[in-house]
Amino acid sequence: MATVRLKIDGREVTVEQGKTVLDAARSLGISIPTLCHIEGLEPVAACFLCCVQVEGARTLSPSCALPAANGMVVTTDSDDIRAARRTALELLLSDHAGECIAPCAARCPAGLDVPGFVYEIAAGQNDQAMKTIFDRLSLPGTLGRVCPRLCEQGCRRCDYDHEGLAIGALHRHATDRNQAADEPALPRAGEASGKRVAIVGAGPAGLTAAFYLLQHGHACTLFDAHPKAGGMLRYGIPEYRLPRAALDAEIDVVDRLGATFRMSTRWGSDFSLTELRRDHDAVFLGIGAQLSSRLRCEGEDLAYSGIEFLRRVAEGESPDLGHSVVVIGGGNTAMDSARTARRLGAEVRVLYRRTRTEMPCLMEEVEGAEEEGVGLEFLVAPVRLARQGNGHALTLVCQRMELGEEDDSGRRRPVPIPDSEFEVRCDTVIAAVGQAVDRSLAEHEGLELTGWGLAVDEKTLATNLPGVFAGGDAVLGADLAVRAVAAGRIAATSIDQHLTGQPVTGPEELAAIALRPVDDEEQAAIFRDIEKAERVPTPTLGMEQRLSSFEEIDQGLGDEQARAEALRCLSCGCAKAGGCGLRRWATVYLADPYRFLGRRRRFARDDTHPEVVYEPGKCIMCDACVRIAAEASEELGLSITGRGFDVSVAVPFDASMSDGLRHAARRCAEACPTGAIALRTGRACDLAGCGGCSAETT
Amino acid sequence: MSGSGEVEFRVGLASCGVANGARPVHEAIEAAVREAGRGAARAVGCGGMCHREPLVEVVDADGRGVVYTHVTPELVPGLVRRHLRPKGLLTRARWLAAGLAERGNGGSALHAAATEETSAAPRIVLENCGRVDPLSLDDALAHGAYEGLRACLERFTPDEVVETISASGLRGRGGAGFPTGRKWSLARAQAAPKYVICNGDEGDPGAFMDRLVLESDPHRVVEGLAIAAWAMGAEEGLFYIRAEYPQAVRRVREAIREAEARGFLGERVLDHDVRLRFEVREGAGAFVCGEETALIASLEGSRGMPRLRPPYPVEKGYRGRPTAINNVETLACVPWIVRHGAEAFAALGTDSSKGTKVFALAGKVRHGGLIEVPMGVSIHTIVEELGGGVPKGRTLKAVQLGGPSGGCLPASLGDTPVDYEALRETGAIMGSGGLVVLDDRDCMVDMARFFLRFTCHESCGKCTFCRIGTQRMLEILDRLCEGEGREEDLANLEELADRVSRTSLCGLGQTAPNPVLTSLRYFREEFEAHVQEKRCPAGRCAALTDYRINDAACIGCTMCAQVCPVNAIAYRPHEPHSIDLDLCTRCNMCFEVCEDGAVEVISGGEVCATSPRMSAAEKAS
Repeated sequence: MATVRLKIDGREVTVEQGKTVLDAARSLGISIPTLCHIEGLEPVAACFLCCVQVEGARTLSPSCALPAANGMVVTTDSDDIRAARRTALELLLSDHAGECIAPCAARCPAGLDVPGFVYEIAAGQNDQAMKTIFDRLSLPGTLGRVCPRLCEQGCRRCDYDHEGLAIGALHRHATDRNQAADEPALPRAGEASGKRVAIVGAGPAGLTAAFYLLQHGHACTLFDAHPKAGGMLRYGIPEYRLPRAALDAEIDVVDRLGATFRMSTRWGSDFSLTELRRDHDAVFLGIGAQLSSRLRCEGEDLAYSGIEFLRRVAEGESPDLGHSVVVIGGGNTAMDSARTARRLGAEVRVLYRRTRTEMPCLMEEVEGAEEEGVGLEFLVAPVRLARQGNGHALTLVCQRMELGEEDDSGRRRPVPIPDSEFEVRCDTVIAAVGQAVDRSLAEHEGLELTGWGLAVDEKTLATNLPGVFAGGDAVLGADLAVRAVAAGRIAATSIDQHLTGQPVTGPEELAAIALRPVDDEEQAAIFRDIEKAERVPTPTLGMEQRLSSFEEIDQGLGDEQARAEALRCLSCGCAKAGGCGLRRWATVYLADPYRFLGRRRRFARDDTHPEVVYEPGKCIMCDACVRIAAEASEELGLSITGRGFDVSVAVPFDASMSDGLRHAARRCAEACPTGAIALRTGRACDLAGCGGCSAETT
Repeated sequence: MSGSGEVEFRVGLASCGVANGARPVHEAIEAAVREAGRGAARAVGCGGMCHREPLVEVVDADGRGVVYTHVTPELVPGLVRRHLRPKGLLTRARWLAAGLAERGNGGSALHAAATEETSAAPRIVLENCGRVDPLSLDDALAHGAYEGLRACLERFTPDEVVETISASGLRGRGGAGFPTGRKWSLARAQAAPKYVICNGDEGDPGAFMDRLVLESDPHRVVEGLAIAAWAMGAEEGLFYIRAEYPQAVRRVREAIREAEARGFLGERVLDHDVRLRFEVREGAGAFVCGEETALIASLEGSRGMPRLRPPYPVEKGYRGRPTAINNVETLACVPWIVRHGAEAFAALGTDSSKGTKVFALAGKVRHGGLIEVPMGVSIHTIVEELGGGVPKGRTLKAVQLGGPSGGCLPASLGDTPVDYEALRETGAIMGSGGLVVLDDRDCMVDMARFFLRFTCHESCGKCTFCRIGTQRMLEILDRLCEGEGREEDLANLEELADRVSRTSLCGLGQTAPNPVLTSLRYFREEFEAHVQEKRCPAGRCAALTDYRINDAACIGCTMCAQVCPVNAIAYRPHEPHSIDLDLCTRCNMCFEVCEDGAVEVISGGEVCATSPRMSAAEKAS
């Protein structure tokens, strides 16, 4: 066999005549990205991802189709080549009517694979669902109860049935069921690495960091000033929202993974960061935002702090509030304080300086509070707080506000109305106007700070001190528990990379593109064949019991209810999300999916084939399926139709996919570099047997 | 030729003539000739002056010719009378009377229609176009057809002919300019069976050279392909002609049939042991099928999509066999070269570009049409001398060469000669021969957009950059023309242009950005004005342009009001007019009719053009 000798990236290589430059490069172990290249099929040279520079050529050449020739000098990687590949990917993405991940998952700060676990619940595979959930979430039972569930706001059902899928209720259900199981599905500790990590703060961030680090085999010690673990989850959230047993069960998971808890141990008085760094291989700071923001009005010392109040109740105290309580603030702590005070028997009024629309807390919390008889007054701000004479009673002087210009947060700023002062008489004032990070110790120990808290690298959560990472409220200021959980996972990955001598990059996040319908017609195409289905209601506690106890209001879904709710899932997102070449290379080449926005393919979904689903909007014209169908001697097969920007792959003569692909469908789906042709699996709506898709097969 | 001693009336019946009403003229002449009992009416092809069709060339018995332009059937009797004396006495008397009666009115029209025979330039490709009856092999033979082929078979070896073509310096006229002799010798070295193909898939908008050559002198091209096939050792030849050229398809088919019947093609060509089988295949009109690998795919019955070269068709082409593909114009040069010798051909032109080049001259010139010029002539000469310059009141801005694969050459580079290398250096290309003259009212952004829209639409859709990149470029140009240009648009446009050109498989993609790149190179400030000032300096882009009437200049003639298609100008005689901008569609009609310098085109607050102010004498003419 004749051979040819060429030079690739400065290395000589000899290959058989007839081999391509791509073959030759691969024989040297040089990686060249490809999308349209299918081993064993005649190359088409369409995607141009595999382009290389041949010395002396004006153009870049597609290595997949370029015959290796004697004396050829090839470069496979240069700034120019990388830029060409990135631009190719950006162009392909600009014409991609697909979404890598479902809108719910895209909104989840922790990136939970919602359609994945929901499908598994629908399919009755609870163990598998837990595995999927634990991949992204620690404390899923807790989060199912307390999370504001940004995911549900992103749910496509919102545009269709007004109410999104009950995602929180579903992972709570899965977790509760798992905990009750004889052999619960739980993550296992990794093989001991011999590395030791100190975690300061046993709240959601710290617990999560430990949860994942222990699975990597790193020993974790959690230090916390409080007597029990859980942080704000335990001390800032009332029991009627999060029963202690549910929280304890999840902390127990971390405990069983082998965590060491050093409770009632306070940074500053009991240890220093310097000591921790000396005794451990890495440190994670998840110290939260423990300071109450001040009311900034005269006499503010007479007010209770909201988190202080909640902590005392959580520790079993029953503070004497008197008969009437005024809560100042509009966040979750304000609502929690109000509803807790209500349960302690007080009459409660909440004063908020903006309006209902601007309230940062969950609307269902406001509704719950109102149901329980909490009064709400808007556009009111405190001016002065004073004790009435020598007694217990207080006088709160307030003034009325009106909304002015938008501030940095995008909300309209409250402005006082002159001469609008009035008095409120009460026994207790609870100030719940925000929390802040205690920065003094951090600063003292040499950590850099931001306006919110500790300064970290956004991607890796590394602080300025080597081996020290931080996340959660400590970095963000008072924020959502799910963001703390997300941070704990990111930090765990970074710390693992740090401990195992890898470059510290944080978890790899694949590039993703969202599907933004261009018009009503496309929107309708997305919802084609989907039946309307109202959200399955969750059983709740009766009002009498609510006011007389701290029992959990939300009783959770039963098995059948959970399954029924899971079947509402539209299984958005891409069936090939994990195996998509476009996504993979877009990630590697840092492609910006939105750089070349313009006209694009329309979303369409062809469900007529029993084995595969065809979404032409995701096709990148790689021609793989066309070639495979031809090679498999399909009678009709597939063909490229149209011209220019509007080309598409279709079955000739407008025949259906089931006619076009009689026996090559599976191979086509496997070869398709994107989710354009994908095997029909893992869709909740398939389980529902709505018949919408399969009805058209005939 | 009027070997018969008869007066010949040649009517151009190529597509350009037919479209302008030459058929009734031809019929009228036939009738008049019949009546006169002498003279001959001939249907010929295109003589090149397409802007003056219908054309009638009258060649007197002594061989002197005169050309009548814009001939109508009504003018025919007078025209024929001027050149013929009828045989019958009665007819002669009647004609004389009619002539006397007509003198004074129709006569002047006839006089105006007569024109000097133009072009002292040598004609190679168009040698017989407009002279020979394309449907008559005899007429073709009388004009020297197949003499080249005969000479080959009787006097030369194939190697000698390949050598002659090489020595002539002939290069591919399809646009790229690959030396024809080299292609032939590469093909000759390959093992049989092999194929020759005549690429008649002319697709550039505004280019019609190949069409008119095929329609006007099909035997020349058939002969060219026959010589090519024989020289390269191929027995089978294919004409790939787009189906939109039905007249060309018909005439070439007819020419092949006649040539076979008379032994110029077939199993024993001219009684030699040479076999030549030709056939015509019709292309479905995809522009990309002019690219040779796509053309081959199309001939093989597949979707016309290019593939990577190498291997080149000359090694592995039609049906996997060696295939030489030559353009129509290239092949039309071949018989001439064989007949006159390589030196005669090489004597014309520049060092690297020999012979002549045919251009389809269009745009803002007085005389559009087909022209054949020796290589090396300057662009300026073509525009000013052959095209008669841009119409009065306007100035030459640029020349667009090579259509969607080509580029524009600013007026300042008018001295650039027609030469492959010299043109390439400017960023434009020789191309297949489209030559569009642009004046100061042509917007370069809009022009780039026009050509890019064409290539974007004609992309086969295979390569990422060509399919999506050209679309994104087009969207940027659309935004610019709509006044919605963004800060980053020009940088993105340039990046995409560079990427599309360097990261596409075939010539279509690689050259698609050329109109944009050359426009940016020579007229960057015009692009910047669109983006930054939302201004179109040429006053062409409707979204950026307003029309206004200058009260001081307007004489209230109502011409503008009469032509305005949307009644945006009130009809008020003797009063200065005004334009309702809410109704105005910026169609430019008022600007074109105004002769008093009163219509102003405004963009970005500046007057960018004023309609010409004409003297009374100019108006009268």
